[in-house]
Amino acid sequence: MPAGVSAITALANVTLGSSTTTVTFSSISSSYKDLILVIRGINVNYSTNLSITFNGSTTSCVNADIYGNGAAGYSYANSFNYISTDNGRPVAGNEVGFRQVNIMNYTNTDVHKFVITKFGSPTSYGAGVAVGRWPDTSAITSVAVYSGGTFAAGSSFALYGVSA
Amino acid sequence: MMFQKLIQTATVGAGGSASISFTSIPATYTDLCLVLCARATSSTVNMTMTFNGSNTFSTARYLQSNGSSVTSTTDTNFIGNSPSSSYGADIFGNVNIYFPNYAGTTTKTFFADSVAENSTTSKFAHLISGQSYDTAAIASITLNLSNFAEGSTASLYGILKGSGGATVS
Repeated sequence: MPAGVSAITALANVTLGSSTTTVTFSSISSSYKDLILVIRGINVNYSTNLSITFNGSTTSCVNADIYGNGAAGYSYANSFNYISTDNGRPVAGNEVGFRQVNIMNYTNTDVHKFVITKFGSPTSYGAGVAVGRWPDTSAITSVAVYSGGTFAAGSSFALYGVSA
Repeated sequence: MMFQKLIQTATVGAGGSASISFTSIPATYTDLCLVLCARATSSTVNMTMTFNGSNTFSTARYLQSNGSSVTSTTDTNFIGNSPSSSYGADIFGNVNIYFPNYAGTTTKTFFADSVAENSTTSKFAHLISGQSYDTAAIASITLNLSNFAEGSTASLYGILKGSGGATVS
């Protein structure tokens, strides 16, 4: 990588003008090594967790996390038919949730895809890190983000590509 | 499109300093990322953050691990522990703070992760999530410690988003 050239490129972004349940990034370029997805999500409904699927897949995924809610620390493992950005710790109603999702080796067709997420739900589940594995060797070409309820207007979703 | 650009950087000089400040932060980026490398000159190691002159975040929850146990509590402006003056020479801890949509006119939030470690004698790792109902754009950020040691550095980066490329339903 030449000096002065960024290793991270902004690929796509949406800021919601009205509430919605799902945001999808499609036709993702295969030119990068990893992806970073930054979510500033405002959940209207207190519901299930903020989740991600790849290429429309509903294959069962193992998820685990460690987090602190302001009272105690916890760690859990769960299986869902999606990658959970918080292992089932939803963004509370009207809370501004933060997720920085790192998707490694997304174009590699020899490996399952791992995701590491820093998640913040500052008025409810607090701060933590979640990990998940999508047991599929397909290259990731689309990422869909589900609120588990409804994303309010003003929620933003930004996708970046990390060069090798 | 360049993803991340350095806005300001600060290095603490001889004698140390009780604060490191970033002012006149331009509102032209999407998000901010602040990277701090710090050490205290005393045994008081709690680092805190205020913004826009004096504001603290309305609420924050954090997870703390010290190598033997995990705890969690609430706060409004805590961003982690720095290495104390008793740590081995040249040991500085790190904090990474992310502010999404800092220039917007809605609720502000941040996420921080920090670490300070001195081999087997003392170690801390923190994850912190905070929210403020102050809707003003973040134009200044101040980091506070009992006294930042000479050589402590802080860098503020602006992050630009891409455009389009997503569908909603």
